[in-house]
Amino acid sequence: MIKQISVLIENEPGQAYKPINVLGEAGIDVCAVSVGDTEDFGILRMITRDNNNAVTILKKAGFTVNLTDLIGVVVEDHPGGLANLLTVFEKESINIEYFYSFIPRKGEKAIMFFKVEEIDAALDKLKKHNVVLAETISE
Amino acid sequence: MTNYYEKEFEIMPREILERLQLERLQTLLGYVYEKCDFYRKKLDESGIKPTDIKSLSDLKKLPFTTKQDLRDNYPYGMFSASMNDIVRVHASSGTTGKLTVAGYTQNDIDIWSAVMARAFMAGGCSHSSIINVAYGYGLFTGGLGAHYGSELLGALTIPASSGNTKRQLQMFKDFKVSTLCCTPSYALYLADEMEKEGYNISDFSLKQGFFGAEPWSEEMRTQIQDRLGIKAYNIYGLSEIIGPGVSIECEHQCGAHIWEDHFLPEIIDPKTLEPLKNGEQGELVFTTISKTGMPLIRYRTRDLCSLIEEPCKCGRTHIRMTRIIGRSDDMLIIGGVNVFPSQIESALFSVKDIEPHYMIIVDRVNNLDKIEIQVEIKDELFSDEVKNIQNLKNKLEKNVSSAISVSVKIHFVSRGTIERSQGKAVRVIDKRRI
Repeated sequence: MIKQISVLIENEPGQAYKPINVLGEAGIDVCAVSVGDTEDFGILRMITRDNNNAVTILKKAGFTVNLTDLIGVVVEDHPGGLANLLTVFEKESINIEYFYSFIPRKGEKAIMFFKVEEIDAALDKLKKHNVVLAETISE
Repeated sequence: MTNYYEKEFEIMPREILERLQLERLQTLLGYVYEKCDFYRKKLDESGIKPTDIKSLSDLKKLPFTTKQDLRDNYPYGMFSASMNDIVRVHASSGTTGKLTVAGYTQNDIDIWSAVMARAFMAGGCSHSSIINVAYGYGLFTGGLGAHYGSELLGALTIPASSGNTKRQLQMFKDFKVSTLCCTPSYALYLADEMEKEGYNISDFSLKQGFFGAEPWSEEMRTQIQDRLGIKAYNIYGLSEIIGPGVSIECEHQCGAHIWEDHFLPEIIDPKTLEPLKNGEQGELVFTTISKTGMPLIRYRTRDLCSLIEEPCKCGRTHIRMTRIIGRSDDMLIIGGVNVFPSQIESALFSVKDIEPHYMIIVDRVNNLDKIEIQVEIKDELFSDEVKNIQNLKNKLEKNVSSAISVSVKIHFVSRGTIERSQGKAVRVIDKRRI
């Protein structure tokens, strides 16, 4: 499982910059980012290389912070790679809340992050298939 | 030419008016002492017998009545009349979610209708007027108060109630409405919508409007008059005393005449509770001297203003009050509805784990009052999923809106966004320029 940090942001210019900047100044590498938003508020979701410190720093800076477990899956970087993976989710009836990706370096395998309803059950189901789970973000 | 609905009373010489007031006050005190347990106890505790009141200047010896008293005696404890004689109740919001109830006998409805008819005539209406009542009908006194007064006057009365602006404008035009009754902010909203819908003032037959239920200013009056092509009159009232029609401006628009044959006004210092002289600014206090359902003695309105005793050119001898310039408590008036910040707070805290840090921001957008509540959200309630936050937001909006009868918007902010105050917390920012 991969830990994700979520931060509440207001739907106004400059709001996403603030938490990212706080982490940047503290030397924490933010690898992947996704935003869920409404017209009123947004949720900035991040995968960092140092979650413990990131959470402490963000809380100290006054942000409302939440930690969530995601499923990380390594995906072949070729046409149809993601489709093959999503077929497994469909077959196993795993409900995906949202997902986003992380490509470490050009040409390398991508990591997809999935938020699902019941993570333990979903992991068990995925293990029955030829799915490569990512436990950490590789350096 | 000045027209009066009850000329004898409206231009009654002060001397005779004051004699009438004293007689009515003395009768009232005997009546409430006999009929109302609350007042008998209150007068006994202050060591005052109804017969101790020998002149109007003795009024200051009497104890005050407060909104808290109405709340403590909810719902019927303040009534002096027997329940069989009460024919109607109205109610406004209280500070804790409990309603502030007012009971009326037929006598009271008749008085109310008459003072409203006086008000309409003071503003130039007659039985040939076509009066559109765009105050809300219901527990709020605005709609039915104006309605009964208009009918008593013999005017054509349109019970339009509030909202449905397009239809209101259509009726103005088609029904040849001469007179508008609504909140001043809604009048300006109507003016905006008129322009948007492509109407001209010349499409309408509007002559005058009676605006109240919320504070407003001379600047708003100028705007309303210019944009709607009417004369705009300030009307004042509160359900505890009777409803709209406690006071009204005449054609000279120089302060609202208080119908002193029914309502005795005083201005007090809200801190020392000592009576102030006419012309000095303080809290308005009323004693009702003719109502029988729920008469109130020295009721503290919490509205701040001053009284003008100089005679008015219209010939009416009844004292005038200035515009309300503020409140001596924290009550807000949002689109004519009374709202207490404490009601909002308890509705917010009905949801577990809400941070005790919030800020109520009141603003007027396109002439309509809006409330936004900024709420800090704890990490425990926060979620990575939009739908969870949206659900929480909807739930809070529903709880608060139903508690105060005004729709609100919740805006989540990060921890620490809302300024922590050292002393008394500032919970309300009112951005309205009235």
